[in-house]
Amino acid sequence: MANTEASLEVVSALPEIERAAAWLDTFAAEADVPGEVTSRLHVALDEILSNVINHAGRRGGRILLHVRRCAQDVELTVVDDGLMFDPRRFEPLPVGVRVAEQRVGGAGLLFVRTLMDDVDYTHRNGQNRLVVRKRLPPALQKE
Amino acid sequence: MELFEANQDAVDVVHVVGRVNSANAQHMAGRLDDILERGSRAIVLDLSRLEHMTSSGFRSLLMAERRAAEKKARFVLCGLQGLTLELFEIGGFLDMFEVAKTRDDALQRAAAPARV
Repeated sequence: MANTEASLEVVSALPEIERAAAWLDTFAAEADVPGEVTSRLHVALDEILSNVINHAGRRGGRILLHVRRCAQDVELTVVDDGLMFDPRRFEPLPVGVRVAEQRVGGAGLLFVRTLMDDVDYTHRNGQNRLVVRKRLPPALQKE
Repeated sequence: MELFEANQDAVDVVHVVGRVNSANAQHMAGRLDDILERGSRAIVLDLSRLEHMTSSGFRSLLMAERRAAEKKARFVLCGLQGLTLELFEIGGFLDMFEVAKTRDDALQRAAAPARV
Protein backbone atom coordinates (compact mmCIF):
# COMPACT_ATOMS: atom_id res chain seq x y z
CA MET A 1 0.00 0.00 0.00
CA ALA A 2 1.31 3.43 -0.94
CA ASN A 3 0.59 5.57 2.08
CA THR A 4 0.00 4.46 5.61
CA GLU A 5 -0.19 7.92 7.11
CA ALA A 6 -1.24 11.40 6.07
CA SER A 7 -1.54 14.88 7.57
CA LEU A 8 -3.65 17.93 6.83
CA GLU A 9 -3.87 21.41 8.34
CA VAL A 10 -7.26 23.11 8.29
CA VAL A 11 -8.49 26.48 9.47
CA SER A 12 -11.09 26.57 12.23
CA ALA A 13 -14.07 27.25 9.94
CA LEU A 14 -17.05 25.05 8.97
CA PRO A 15 -16.39 24.86 5.18
CA GLU A 16 -13.07 23.19 5.97
CA ILE A 17 -14.93 20.10 7.12
CA GLU A 18 -15.63 19.06 3.51
CA ARG A 19 -11.92 19.36 2.73
CA ALA A 20 -11.07 17.23 5.75
CA ALA A 21 -13.62 14.60 4.65
CA ALA A 22 -12.13 14.50 1.14
CA TRP A 23 -8.67 14.11 2.68
CA LEU A 24 -9.86 11.17 4.79
CA ASP A 25 -11.44 9.54 1.71
CA THR A 26 -8.19 9.86 -0.22
CA PHE A 27 -6.19 8.34 2.61
CA ALA A 28 -8.67 5.47 3.05
CA ALA A 29 -8.47 4.61 -0.65
CA GLU A 30 -4.66 4.69 -0.70
CA ALA A 31 -4.28 2.74 2.53
CA ASP A 32 -7.00 0.16 1.68
CA VAL A 33 -9.09 0.98 4.72
CA PRO A 34 -12.42 -0.86 4.43
CA GLY A 35 -15.58 1.19 4.01
CA GLU A 36 -17.13 0.18 7.34
CA VAL A 37 -14.08 1.59 9.18
CA THR A 38 -13.83 4.68 6.99
CA SER A 39 -17.49 5.65 7.46
CA ARG A 40 -17.14 5.45 11.25
CA LEU A 41 -13.99 7.56 11.08
CA HIS A 42 -15.91 10.09 8.97
CA VAL A 43 -18.57 10.45 11.64
CA ALA A 44 -15.94 10.82 14.38
CA LEU A 45 -13.91 13.37 12.37
CA ASP A 46 -17.00 15.46 11.63
CA GLU A 47 -18.13 15.48 15.26
CA ILE A 48 -14.67 16.33 16.61
CA LEU A 49 -14.03 19.08 14.05
CA SER A 50 -17.46 20.68 14.36
CA ASN A 51 -17.08 20.66 18.14
CA VAL A 52 -13.72 22.41 17.93
CA ILE A 53 -14.91 24.89 15.29
CA ASN A 54 -18.29 25.72 16.90
CA HIS A 55 -17.37 25.69 20.57
CA ALA A 56 -13.73 25.45 21.44
CA GLY A 57 -11.61 26.78 18.62
CA ARG A 58 -10.19 30.22 18.09
CA ARG A 59 -11.74 31.84 15.02
CA GLY A 60 -9.23 31.36 12.23
CA GLY A 61 -7.11 29.07 14.42
CA ARG A 62 -5.31 26.08 12.94
CA ILE A 63 -6.30 22.47 13.43
CA LEU A 64 -3.86 19.70 12.61
CA LEU A 65 -5.14 16.34 11.46
CA HIS A 66 -3.16 13.14 11.22
CA VAL A 67 -4.31 9.66 10.24
CA ARG A 68 -2.32 6.46 10.32
CA ARG A 69 -3.05 2.86 9.42
CA CYS A 70 -1.44 0.71 12.10
CA ALA A 71 -1.19 -3.09 12.28
CA GLN A 72 -4.52 -3.54 14.02
CA ASP A 73 -6.34 -0.24 13.77
CA VAL A 74 -6.60 3.16 12.13
CA GLU A 75 -5.60 6.08 14.35
CA LEU A 76 -6.91 9.61 13.84
CA THR A 77 -5.36 12.54 15.71
CA VAL A 78 -6.81 16.06 15.97
CA VAL A 79 -4.67 18.82 17.51
CA ASP A 80 -6.02 22.32 18.18
CA ASP A 81 -5.18 25.27 20.40
CA GLY A 82 -8.77 26.11 21.43
CA LEU A 83 -10.40 25.83 24.83
CA MET A 84 -9.44 22.80 26.89
CA PHE A 85 -12.08 20.12 26.40
CA ASP A 86 -11.87 16.46 27.35
CA PRO A 87 -14.64 14.58 25.49
CA ARG A 88 -14.15 11.53 27.71
CA ARG A 89 -15.49 13.49 30.68
CA PHE A 90 -18.67 14.55 28.98
CA GLU A 91 -21.72 12.78 30.43
CA PRO A 92 -24.44 12.25 27.83
CA LEU A 93 -28.08 12.45 28.88
CA PRO A 94 -29.61 9.10 29.73
CA VAL A 95 -31.57 7.56 26.88
CA GLY A 96 -35.23 8.42 27.28
CA VAL A 97 -34.72 12.07 28.18
CA ARG A 98 -36.73 13.81 25.51
CA VAL A 99 -35.01 17.15 25.41
CA ALA A 100 -34.27 17.28 21.74
CA GLU A 101 -31.68 20.07 21.64
CA GLN A 102 -29.72 18.72 24.59
CA ARG A 103 -29.90 15.26 23.12
CA VAL A 104 -28.39 16.41 19.86
CA GLY A 105 -25.70 18.38 21.66
CA GLY A 106 -24.56 15.26 23.44
CA ALA A 107 -25.11 12.89 20.54
CA GLY A 108 -21.99 13.93 18.66
CA LEU A 109 -19.65 12.97 21.47
CA LEU A 110 -21.70 9.86 22.17
CA PHE A 111 -21.24 8.87 18.51
CA VAL A 112 -17.46 9.31 18.82
CA ARG A 113 -17.23 7.28 22.01
CA THR A 114 -19.50 4.51 20.76
CA LEU A 115 -18.18 4.16 17.20
CA MET A 116 -14.49 4.32 18.13
CA ASP A 117 -12.70 1.57 20.05
CA ASP A 118 -10.44 3.97 21.91
CA VAL A 119 -10.54 7.71 22.72
CA ASP A 120 -7.47 9.35 24.23
CA TYR A 121 -7.08 13.01 25.22
CA THR A 122 -4.16 15.07 26.49
CA HIS A 123 -3.73 18.81 27.02
CA ARG A 124 -0.16 20.07 26.85
CA ASN A 125 1.49 23.41 26.05
CA GLY A 126 -1.90 24.97 25.39
CA GLN A 127 -2.89 22.31 22.86
CA ASN A 128 -5.71 19.78 22.86
CA ARG A 129 -4.64 16.45 21.40
CA LEU A 130 -7.45 14.00 20.74
CA VAL A 131 -6.60 10.53 19.41
CA VAL A 132 -9.29 8.06 18.37
CA ARG A 133 -8.74 4.53 17.12
CA LYS A 134 -10.92 2.15 15.17
CA ARG A 135 -9.94 -1.50 14.93
CA LEU A 136 -9.63 -3.10 11.50
CA PRO A 137 -11.66 -6.25 10.83
CA PRO A 138 -9.69 -9.32 12.11
CA ALA A 139 -8.89 -10.51 8.57
CA LEU A 140 -7.01 -7.25 7.87
CA GLN A 141 -5.07 -7.06 11.13
CA LYS A 142 -1.36 -7.85 11.15
CA GLU A 143 0.75 -9.29 13.92
CA MET B 1 -25.04 14.78 -0.27
CA GLU B 2 -27.77 14.97 -2.87
CA LEU B 3 -31.47 15.47 -2.26
CA PHE B 4 -33.90 14.13 -4.85
CA GLU B 5 -37.53 15.14 -4.62
CA ALA B 6 -40.54 13.35 -6.06
CA ASN B 7 -44.27 13.61 -5.54
CA GLN B 8 -46.30 10.47 -5.17
CA ASP B 9 -50.05 10.57 -4.44
CA ALA B 10 -49.80 14.06 -2.86
CA VAL B 11 -46.89 12.96 -0.66
CA ASP B 12 -43.54 14.70 -1.05
CA VAL B 13 -40.85 12.02 -1.13
CA VAL B 14 -37.30 13.21 -0.49
CA HIS B 15 -34.37 10.85 -1.07
CA VAL B 16 -31.24 11.68 0.85
CA VAL B 17 -28.22 10.25 -0.96
CA GLY B 18 -24.65 10.20 0.34
CA ARG B 19 -23.54 11.72 3.62
CA VAL B 20 -25.13 14.35 5.81
CA ASN B 21 -22.53 16.19 7.89
CA SER B 22 -21.98 19.52 9.59
CA ALA B 23 -21.05 21.16 6.28
CA ASN B 24 -24.30 20.30 4.46
CA ALA B 25 -26.92 19.61 7.18
CA GLN B 26 -28.26 23.16 6.98
CA HIS B 27 -28.84 22.73 3.28
CA MET B 28 -31.03 19.69 4.01
CA ALA B 29 -32.89 21.64 6.73
CA GLY B 30 -33.50 24.49 4.28
CA ARG B 31 -34.90 22.21 1.59
CA LEU B 32 -37.27 20.48 4.01
CA ASP B 33 -38.37 23.87 5.28
CA ASP B 34 -39.05 25.05 1.72
CA ILE B 35 -41.23 22.00 1.06
CA LEU B 36 -43.25 22.65 4.23
CA GLU B 37 -43.48 26.38 3.44
CA ARG B 38 -45.04 25.70 0.07
CA GLY B 39 -47.84 23.85 1.85
CA SER B 40 -46.86 20.18 1.82
CA ARG B 41 -49.18 18.07 3.97
CA ALA B 42 -46.88 15.05 4.10
CA ILE B 43 -43.17 14.35 3.64
CA VAL B 44 -41.55 10.93 3.41
CA LEU B 45 -37.80 11.06 3.92
CA ASP B 46 -36.21 8.02 2.30
CA LEU B 47 -32.83 7.28 3.92
CA SER B 48 -32.14 3.99 2.13
CA ARG B 49 -29.22 5.52 0.20
CA LEU B 50 -27.81 7.54 3.08
CA GLU B 51 -24.27 6.46 4.01
CA HIS B 52 -24.29 8.17 7.40
CA MET B 53 -25.52 11.26 9.20
CA THR B 54 -23.70 13.15 11.94
CA SER B 55 -25.34 14.98 14.86
CA SER B 56 -25.78 18.14 12.75
CA GLY B 57 -28.03 16.13 10.46
CA PHE B 58 -30.08 14.89 13.40
CA ARG B 59 -30.48 18.50 14.52
CA SER B 60 -31.82 19.38 11.06
CA LEU B 61 -34.23 16.44 11.13
CA LEU B 62 -35.53 17.44 14.56
CA MET B 63 -36.09 21.01 13.30
CA ALA B 64 -37.99 19.67 10.31
CA GLU B 65 -40.09 17.38 12.52
CA ARG B 66 -40.95 20.32 14.82
CA ARG B 67 -41.83 22.52 11.84
CA ALA B 68 -43.99 19.77 10.32
CA ALA B 69 -45.84 19.35 13.64
CA GLU B 70 -46.54 23.10 13.76
CA LYS B 71 -47.99 22.94 10.28
CA LYS B 72 -49.87 19.70 11.06
CA ALA B 73 -48.00 17.99 8.24
CA ARG B 74 -46.90 14.37 8.42
CA PHE B 75 -43.18 13.65 8.50
CA VAL B 76 -42.27 9.99 8.12
CA LEU B 77 -38.81 8.43 7.80
CA CYS B 78 -38.03 5.15 6.04
CA GLY B 79 -35.06 3.20 4.72
CA LEU B 80 -33.01 3.27 7.93
CA GLN B 81 -30.17 0.76 7.49
CA GLY B 82 -26.55 0.05 8.32
CA LEU B 83 -24.62 2.77 10.07
CA THR B 84 -27.56 5.18 9.72
CA LEU B 85 -29.77 2.88 11.79
CA GLU B 86 -26.93 2.36 14.29
CA LEU B 87 -26.63 6.14 14.77
CA PHE B 88 -30.39 6.50 15.32
CA GLU B 89 -30.12 3.80 17.99
CA ILE B 90 -26.99 5.19 19.68
CA GLY B 91 -28.43 8.70 19.90
CA GLY B 92 -31.84 7.50 21.08
CA PHE B 93 -33.51 9.20 18.10
CA LEU B 94 -35.85 6.40 17.02
CA ASP B 95 -38.56 7.50 19.44
CA MET B 96 -38.38 11.12 18.28
CA PHE B 97 -39.62 10.45 14.75
CA GLU B 98 -42.31 8.47 13.00
CA VAL B 99 -40.24 5.67 11.45
CA ALA B 100 -41.70 3.23 8.91
CA LYS B 101 -40.20 -0.15 8.12
CA THR B 102 -40.74 0.08 4.37
CA ARG B 103 -41.29 2.79 1.82
CA ASP B 104 -44.84 1.54 1.14
CA ASP B 105 -45.60 1.67 4.86
CA ALA B 106 -44.20 5.21 4.97
CA LEU B 107 -46.37 6.30 2.04
CA GLN B 108 -49.45 4.81 3.68
CA ARG B 109 -48.73 6.57 6.95
CA ALA B 110 -48.03 9.84 5.18
CA ALA B 111 -51.34 9.64 3.33
CA ALA B 112 -53.28 9.24 6.60
CA PRO B 113 -55.44 12.19 7.78
CA ALA B 114 -53.60 15.30 8.96
CA ARG B 115 -52.00 15.46 12.40
CA VAL B 116 -54.05 16.97 15.17
